[in-house]
Amino acid sequence: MKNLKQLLILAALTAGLSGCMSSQKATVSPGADLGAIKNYYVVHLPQDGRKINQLICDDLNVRGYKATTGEAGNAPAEAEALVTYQDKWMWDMAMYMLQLDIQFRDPKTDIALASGEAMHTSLVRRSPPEMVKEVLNQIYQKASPPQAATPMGDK
Amino acid sequence: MKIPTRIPTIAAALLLVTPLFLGGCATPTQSTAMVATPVGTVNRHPQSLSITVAGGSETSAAGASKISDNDFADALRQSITQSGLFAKVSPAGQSDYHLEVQIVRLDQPIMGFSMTVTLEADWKLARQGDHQIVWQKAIISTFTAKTGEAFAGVTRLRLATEGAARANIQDAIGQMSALALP
Repeated sequence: MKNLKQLLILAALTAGLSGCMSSQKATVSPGADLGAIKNYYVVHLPQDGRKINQLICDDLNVRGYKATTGEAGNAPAEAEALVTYQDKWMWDMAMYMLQLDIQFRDPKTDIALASGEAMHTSLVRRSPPEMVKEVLNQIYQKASPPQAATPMGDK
Repeated sequence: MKIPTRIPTIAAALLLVTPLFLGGCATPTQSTAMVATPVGTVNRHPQSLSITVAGGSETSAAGASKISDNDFADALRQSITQSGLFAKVSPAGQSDYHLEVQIVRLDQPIMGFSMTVTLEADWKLARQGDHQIVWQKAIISTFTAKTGEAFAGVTRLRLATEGAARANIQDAIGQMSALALP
């Protein structure tokens, strides 16, 4: 019984080593002026069945921008930036979003104007809308003074 | 049901070894492992070049192997010097052309046997004097480190990450070689 208990503690420690990690990062390309961009088009990732594109679109609209979403190649002419994303999911009692990467791109060249990422492992997991908000906050905070970054209505 | 009082040693060993095989503690990518060998003949530009890299990350032991700005820049400098693409790699502000690399995205698997890493980097080559952009491209590269290449998962991940960086630099050198620079 003592050996079983020791083994269970060892197993829990081993599994828990990577269960409590989070990181955030954002980069803005030199010369990119995110303040001048008001109109976004979020490109739906073909393998995304969870409609993360819609969450990103909704968050941008809450921030006061004009954002629409759809498939690649269908961006409206007035879109000033394309938004692409990659989501990564893990299972731990239930599926949760492990990592979200978002890029703002020049619609003419596809070059990234800004990018951000957030990663939260199981014990510190966040909901997809929270992850979207966190990544976009990181990007806008990097690009402009902190008071301009958070959505209107946030406490 | 009788609960075993003594768990076989092999079970304990497997519990400890399996995470190491699949994940484990990360080591940073090495600049020497990211130096690219050009494919085919490189057109040698007589001008000098300076380099800046941004968007990279430092590696934490509990995370995955990342590519730091300094290591990528070192690998790029060595690649350009060895290939002869430009006559000289100079400090920033002291060259005919300036190459700016932005590491946009490093997509790495969480764990696995065969590890495939994707790297996206934005490359911009501009004339130093008037800052005219002569070449700009988003380059996406992938590299797979197979199970047999290393026992530990973290090592396979590092190898795949270094391979993706190497392939990205190789592609960029190939494209810059084809330029007719003003």
